[in-house]
Amino acid sequence: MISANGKDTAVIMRDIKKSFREKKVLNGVTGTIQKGRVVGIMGRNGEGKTTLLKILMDMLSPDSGTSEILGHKPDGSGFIRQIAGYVPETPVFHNFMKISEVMDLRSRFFRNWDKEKATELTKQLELNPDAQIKGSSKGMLGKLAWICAVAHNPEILLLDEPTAGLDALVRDNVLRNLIEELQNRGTTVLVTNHHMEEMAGILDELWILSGGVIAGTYDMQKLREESCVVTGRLKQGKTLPRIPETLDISEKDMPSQIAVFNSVALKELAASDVFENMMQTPLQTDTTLKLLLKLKGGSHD
Amino acid sequence: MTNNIVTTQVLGKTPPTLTLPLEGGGKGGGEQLHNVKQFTLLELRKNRTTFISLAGILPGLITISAILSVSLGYTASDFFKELFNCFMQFGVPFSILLLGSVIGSGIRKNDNCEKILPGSLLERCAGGFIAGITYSFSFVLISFLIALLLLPPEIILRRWGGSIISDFTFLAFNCAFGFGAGFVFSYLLADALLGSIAGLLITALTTLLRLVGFFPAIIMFSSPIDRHMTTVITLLSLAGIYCAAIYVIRKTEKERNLRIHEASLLIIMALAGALIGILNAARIQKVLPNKLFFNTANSFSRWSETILFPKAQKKAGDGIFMRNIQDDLFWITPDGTRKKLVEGNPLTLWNFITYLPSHIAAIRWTADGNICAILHTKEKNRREQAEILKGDPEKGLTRYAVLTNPMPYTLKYKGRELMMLTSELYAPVTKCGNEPEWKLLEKEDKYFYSEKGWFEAGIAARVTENDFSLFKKTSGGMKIWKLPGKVRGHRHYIPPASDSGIFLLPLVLGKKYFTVACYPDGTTKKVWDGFGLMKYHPEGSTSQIGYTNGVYLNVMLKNGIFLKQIDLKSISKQIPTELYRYEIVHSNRTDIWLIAEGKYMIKIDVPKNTVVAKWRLPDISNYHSPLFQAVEKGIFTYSGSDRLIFMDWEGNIKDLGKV
Repeated sequence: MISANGKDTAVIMRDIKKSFREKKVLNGVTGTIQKGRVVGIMGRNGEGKTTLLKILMDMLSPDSGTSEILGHKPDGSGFIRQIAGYVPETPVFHNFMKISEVMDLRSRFFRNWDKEKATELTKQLELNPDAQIKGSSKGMLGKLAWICAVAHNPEILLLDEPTAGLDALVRDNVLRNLIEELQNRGTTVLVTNHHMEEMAGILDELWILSGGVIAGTYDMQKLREESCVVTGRLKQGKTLPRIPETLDISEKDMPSQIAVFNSVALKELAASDVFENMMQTPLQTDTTLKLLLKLKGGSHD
Repeated sequence: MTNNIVTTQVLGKTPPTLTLPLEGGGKGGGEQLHNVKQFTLLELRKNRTTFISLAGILPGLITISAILSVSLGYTASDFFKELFNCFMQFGVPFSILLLGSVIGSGIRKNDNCEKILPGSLLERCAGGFIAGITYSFSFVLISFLIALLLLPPEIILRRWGGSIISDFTFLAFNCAFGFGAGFVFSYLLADALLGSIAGLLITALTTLLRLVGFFPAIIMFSSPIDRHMTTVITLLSLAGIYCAAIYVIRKTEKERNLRIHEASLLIIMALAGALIGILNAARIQKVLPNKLFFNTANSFSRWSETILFPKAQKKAGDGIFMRNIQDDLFWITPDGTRKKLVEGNPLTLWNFITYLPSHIAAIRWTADGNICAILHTKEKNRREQAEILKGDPEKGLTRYAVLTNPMPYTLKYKGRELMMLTSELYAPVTKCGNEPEWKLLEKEDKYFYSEKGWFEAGIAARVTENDFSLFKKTSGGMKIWKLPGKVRGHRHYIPPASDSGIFLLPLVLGKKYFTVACYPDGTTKKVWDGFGLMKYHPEGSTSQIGYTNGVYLNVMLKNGIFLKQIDLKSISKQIPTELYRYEIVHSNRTDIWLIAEGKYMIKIDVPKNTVVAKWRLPDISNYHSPLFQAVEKGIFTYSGSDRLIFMDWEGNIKDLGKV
């Protein structure tokens, strides 16, 4: 893929801080996303996922810190929204318009709007262009938001809970489209999702946002391969060692169970020699994500 | 800037070229203009319903007019004319204010839908503002076009008079300020509807306070600061609201919360015009009561009581009545003595936008050289009452009677007797101290208080139907003058031209024009040749400019003495102004003093046909007609800038304007 600015970086975040009144939401978010990567951000409610995406989209200004998307810094002009696609958490459109009018409005604002693509997606997602926004279901608005985010062929997509509130059928449709988008265009994606397991299959990286900072970053491939649960009885007089990237998930009066998220931690655990008969079982990805969130940011909601 | 091209494959089709700028914002002026245009179209679409609803008011008025006219038996056109006037006066400004405010606050309302578009908040605001102005003036245009279909053009043009620019400025202000206020307050209050309401209220307040600058008294006051105060408030209001709007845009376009001090600053900026307006009104409220504004005429015309009653005429020649904004009534004499005869009501800020504290309903001289006044006041229980005051202006007035029901509103003479009148009744003032003897006002009674009244009282004379005789009532019957020609024009009632009871009449006989004097003994005499208009001067003399073999001024003094003809061509050469408009203010057997063109007082030696002196009068401020009141010792001139000047017959000036 040819880089627009000669670099491979799509997104840069440097020590981004943001408070709302007295509440600190982001407390120094730093990170970089390489072009073509699909990054999921996971975090509890109120951790600032939406805030972070809005800052990147130049819809919100940070109290401090800087960001760049494809080499462009937010400047209030709205240019970043011209080159990036965005699906908001709650899509809102003018109530008095029809679906076709919404797309027509976007086509007049976005210089690279692809009408054919928009029409094609409308058919694919089974949207009625003549339907009024007022009275449309959440699913229809979600589909429309998706079309609006991709029809101008952005090189980067920022998706804020893109499947939230959508029924299974619509969700599958949207996800299928996202996959097509990735396969066809190599788009960089930054996605937040309550049900990240839905996205797990397409993620390259997983970031945990907790306490206003990126508390952990994971390569999804390694996470899939290396995450496991270690089960065993503790030797007499031994206690579980404190090893990074492990989580004690033991239940009362049962053998000890430790979730381990990488091979280094597994080796360290084995070396600690605290179990009488250690057994290792691979973790399902959805379970891995839930436990990881528990480890880094509290329980999954 | 160098661009790289990224070509990609979309859904198996050849995609459009995606152009990405390498650095910088990437938005040029062209794109900004494009965005503003798109936001304008969007705002026009968004507010179409509001506009159509407002535009529907006018057809609504037509329907109401039709219904009312049928049910009340009037023509629909008459009703529509009235409703149209009301609509143009209040409906249009309010509708435009509403439009501006709704569009301004609508930007906040649709924040979530529009923030995602690739344009800045400033571009959105610009689009909204252009849409607001477009709809506002379309609204005015539609109103006019509909009115043009239904009303004669002259009525519509009369409505606008010569003030189209100021009216449009007013409407544009309403739209512009309403838009700004709606926008700012919808963000401040975090709600579009509340913002719209607050915007409406604040715009209405600012508009009203701007209008204080148009207050008639201020125009007469006429200091430079007052002349331009409306403009200052307008500009400050707009500057304030748009600074506030830009502040809001900068601070909140990225959802940055406003802190208390920032919100306070915004409110101050939004209210800048209103605050200055309030300060201005407070300043005016403090200053105005010390200024003299309104002349209460001494009624020195030929058709007034000062001609009827020598004592009144003599007293009226001693001073001038002036009122101030609070309706305090003063009697001011040439030496500067200022006697307050009536205490007015304190001027409040509310008065600037409602009505002046006027309570002097009527004031007239009485036969004995005193004055009588009706004041409309309120009792402690707020019940309205009419106070009848009487007295010598030099000594002060005392309350003579208080009447509540019926409540008279004016004073008029019926013959030689002063009457107080309601809309239906009248009664003699002299008897109102006890139980007034009210009589029903018949249709014919109105003539007793005018020219016919003077005729009935034996003061004025009347021309016969054939225009060849003049007759006048006497105690014994009727006196008739046979005229040596036909009376020119159609003056049926003729006032006496002098204290000696001489009547002057312009006549025509064949192709000859001349003026005759009708003497009290029944004789007539041709006094002036030529054609000319008769002019009765407040000081008592009568004059006519004659055009026979030149241009001459003929003058008869108030004691009936005729002066030698004055050659006006010769006089004109001796003064630095024209003499088309003149007023004789004083005279003796050899000299006359006249005001020329409202600019100079000149003294003419009549036998020598020479200007012996000329004095420049104070300039009159704009919008105010000159006031010259001749009294015994000189003239009072009011310049309209709180300058009441007294100039004696030798040209000595005394400034009486200061308290």
